[in-house]
Amino acid sequence: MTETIKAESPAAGNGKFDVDGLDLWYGPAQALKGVTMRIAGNSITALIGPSGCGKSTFLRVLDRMNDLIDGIRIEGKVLYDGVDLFGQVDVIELRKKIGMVFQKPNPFPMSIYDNVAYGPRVHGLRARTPAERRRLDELVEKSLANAALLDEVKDRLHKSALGLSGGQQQRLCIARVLAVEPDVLLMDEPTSALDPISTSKIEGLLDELKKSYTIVIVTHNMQQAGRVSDSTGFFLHGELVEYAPTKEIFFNPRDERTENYISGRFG
Amino acid sequence: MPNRSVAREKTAFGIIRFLSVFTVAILALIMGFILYKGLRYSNEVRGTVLPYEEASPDGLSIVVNDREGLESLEFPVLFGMYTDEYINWSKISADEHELLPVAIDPAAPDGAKAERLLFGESGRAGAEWGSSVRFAPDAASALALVRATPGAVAIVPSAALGAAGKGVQTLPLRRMTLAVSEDVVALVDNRSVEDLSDAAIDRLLKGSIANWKELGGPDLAVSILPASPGGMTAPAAAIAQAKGGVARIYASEAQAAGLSTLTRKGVERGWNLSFRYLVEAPRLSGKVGGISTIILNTFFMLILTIAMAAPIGVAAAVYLVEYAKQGPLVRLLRLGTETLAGIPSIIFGLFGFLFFVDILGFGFGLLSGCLTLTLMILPTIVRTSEEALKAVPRSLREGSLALGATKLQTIARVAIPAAAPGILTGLILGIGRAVGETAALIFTMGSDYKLAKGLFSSARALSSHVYLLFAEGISFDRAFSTATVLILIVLAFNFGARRLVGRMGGMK
Amino acid sequence: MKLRKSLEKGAEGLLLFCALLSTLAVLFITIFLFHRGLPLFRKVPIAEFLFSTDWSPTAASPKYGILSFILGSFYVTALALAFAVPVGLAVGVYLAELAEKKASRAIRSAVEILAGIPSVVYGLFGIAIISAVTRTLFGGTGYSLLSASIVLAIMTLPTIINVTEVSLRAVPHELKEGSLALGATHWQTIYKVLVPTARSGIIAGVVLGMGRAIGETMAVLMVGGNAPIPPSGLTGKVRTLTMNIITDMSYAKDDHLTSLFATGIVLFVFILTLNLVVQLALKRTISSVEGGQGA
Repeated sequence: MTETIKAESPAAGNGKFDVDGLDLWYGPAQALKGVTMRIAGNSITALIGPSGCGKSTFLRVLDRMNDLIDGIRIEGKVLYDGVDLFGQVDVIELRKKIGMVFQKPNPFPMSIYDNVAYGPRVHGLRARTPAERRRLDELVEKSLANAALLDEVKDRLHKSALGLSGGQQQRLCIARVLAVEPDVLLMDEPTSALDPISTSKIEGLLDELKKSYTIVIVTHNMQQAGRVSDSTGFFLHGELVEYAPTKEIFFNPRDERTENYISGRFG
Repeated sequence: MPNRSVAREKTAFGIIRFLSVFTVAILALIMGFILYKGLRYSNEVRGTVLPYEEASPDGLSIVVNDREGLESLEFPVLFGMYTDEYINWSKISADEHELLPVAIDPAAPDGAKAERLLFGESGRAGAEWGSSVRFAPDAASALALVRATPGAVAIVPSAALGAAGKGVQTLPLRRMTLAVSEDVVALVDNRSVEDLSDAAIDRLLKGSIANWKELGGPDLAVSILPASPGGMTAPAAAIAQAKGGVARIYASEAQAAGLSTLTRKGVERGWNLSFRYLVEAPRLSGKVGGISTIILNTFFMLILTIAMAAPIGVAAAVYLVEYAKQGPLVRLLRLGTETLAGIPSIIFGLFGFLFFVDILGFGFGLLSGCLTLTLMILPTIVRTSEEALKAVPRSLREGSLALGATKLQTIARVAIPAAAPGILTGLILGIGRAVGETAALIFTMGSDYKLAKGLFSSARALSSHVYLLFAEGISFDRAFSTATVLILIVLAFNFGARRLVGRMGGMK
Repeated sequence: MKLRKSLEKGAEGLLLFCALLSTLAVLFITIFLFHRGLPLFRKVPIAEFLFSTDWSPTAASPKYGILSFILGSFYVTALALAFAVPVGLAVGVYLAELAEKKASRAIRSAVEILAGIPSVVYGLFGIAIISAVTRTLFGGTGYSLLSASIVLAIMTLPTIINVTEVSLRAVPHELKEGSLALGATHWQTIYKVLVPTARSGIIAGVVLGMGRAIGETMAVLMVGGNAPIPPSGLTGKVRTLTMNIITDMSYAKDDHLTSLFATGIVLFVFILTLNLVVQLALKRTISSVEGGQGA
């Protein structure tokens, strides 16, 4: 859990992500309006806001997952470690560095081991010789351990991942992402489909992971944002209304809309 | 008013229920009938000899080299064997060995007995052995000859069998006939005695039939002649002289005395589909032997077809689901697939004949046939694979892409494996269609029933065999047994597909 | 990265080619069939080909008139549908509306198996049972228009049953409830609301069945009698377009062979027209009935 896999960019001093005037349209509908924000490295940034406010869309921009959708148009600038995300970037390499965990656990219909080994394998790690096989085994175990799942599944690594509980599946998905040794973890409401116990397990995990990764988490759950994040951005109707250290957002919001949203939820 | 509509509803639902049960009944009838006819045969046979078997007629035994499927011999057949009427076994039992009739030299005492058995007591003087008959000096050498020659038959004293009888098969003889006096079969007013069922023969001999009129013959009283003392048969002369006379007599005697005999119609039953039928190669257009090579050809055909159709069909489905954007191109592709699905197999046959056989010069053979079948089953595979791929949740693909997998990796490692049960179901349905196909194959794959030697060798599949057995008038029974094998294969595929669908349902 | 990109592009091209194959096949079939069959009309006027019943291709002055076979196909198909449609509708209604789980599972498997039986097997069954029964009941040889239609009716049943069931199930639930709420009986609801609403789907199924019936070869060949004359009645022998092709294919030469491909063209055009009708009708069902189109 100690290895840090990030290459500091020459433009150090900037954030992990520097977003400047980001606009995004799905066909005629504008989903993001002039979003500008800097996301710091080795921290947890929470994105909050009502459904349809654009926070998940924003998250998917950072991983270029929106490329899959037809009729999408993006303007503005997003720098990742100082590199233009929409410039001459190899999407595959980018996604390798920026891992994503989805709202609903989506384990592949294969064994637990194969799920975790999937990423390394598609990136060319072969397990032909015993040494290579041992390396893959170690990587899988390490990733599962970092996702706080190893103890629960080490006796059934080769059983189907579909037999795990929801919380275990989500941690498996986190392990799967960790196995490709990313730099950033994007999480799209990772606990919304889980029970409270699984949720607290994953929240505890985030605290650990923060030491080595930059984490951006979209959440519906205000308490969760308050508990785990260092800074918080509030989205409304595609706009980033307010973005500040979490404590400030929760206890001293500057924008009225933020206050309404937060108090409405707390109150 | 409401009562009337309720009554009407009852009637309507009754009819609907009846028709639904009727549909299932049709299926049951078809399956039951084909399976029954495939497993058992029952044929009407007409002949002069009665179903009375003698294992050792006159103390003699008829021995043959092991002869599958033959349980007894009728006297006319035996007689024909020794008088050059038959030259091989193809018309007698299910093989084509050359016939070698062996007899002990008539000059020896045992040989004289055999001559009497064949040509009758009174006809001995006119005995005319066939030119193909091989005479052996004694029983032992006759038996040795039979053992050594696959197509041999011999008449030897039963007493000589013993240890020397190993390696040969003894066949019982049926030689009892019903002979009548000439006036019974004389054509009066265009009436003649009908062919008699076993029951009618029974009644006739018991004396329950008083006049030949009852059997369609002339107006003449039936007179049953007593058997000679110590035997079962009546003397030939007595039958010839009696008015309306009838009696049992050996065929040899009746023949020698020139007596007319009545025709018996019986029903023969037996097993149609045997293990041997499955493992033996067909001979003589499938009249003889089994269907082993045809089953193998069918499997070659299926493997080759699926090896071509599966990658193409799945690839097409992958393109339609994963790559194509809605638009004129996709509409064109869909239209093409739908249209191809609706084209009847005879048109595929014509096209295959024109294009693969003729223009590409592949000739009649496995390759031409399988290419034709591939086109035929492609729409089925494309459509089911498409459905299966569409059913794979988007989240799985996103999960893979988010890990940095390429689109191709995602499709190959996540989407296709997740859709595998559905895709397999489509493949099995396609195979099911291919295995039952005939019209598209007759003019593309050829009809050679030997084992296919290569891609270009003409090969006959099961369904074509069923058709040709019928169309060439070779054997209805064999057509049914082949159809049974075909149906069992189709059912197995059907069952397999259903199991897969069940598993897929359980996975969700 | 370049390599990977071109690999992906190449793969996409290959996949597109596979997807195009079906369409190409249809195109090729059309081109070759017409190329090989049309030359007949340089020697035989197209009107004579279509409207004469004189088929004597091996005579000294050969005649190629296929009207008898067009009529044969038409009669056989019409009669088969006359048998199959009422039964198919009834079973479809039963499956969609009346059957309990167990019964519907049994019937559905039966229908599936019926659909899977090879046509030669239907042919054998037809010879042994249908021909024998029609011979006993109506006289004649038993190899007749009637026998062929009955066999075809059984063969088209699965198509009609399946499409009827699917179309009925696609009718929105509210319509049924609305009708029942007005005090209509279940049966009145079925025939006054459900069947009319599902009409275009059902018609598409019937047309689909019609296509299957016209294109069927082996089974009708075995029970139809195959005489190259106009059908003379229910118990008379019949030859259809498909039978004409397969019967003469094995020995036809020159113009005779060309005439068989021309027969194929006629059959092909019939089928394509029917397919187009089905696709238009089905498109309408899908757009008029929201969601729920199963298979």
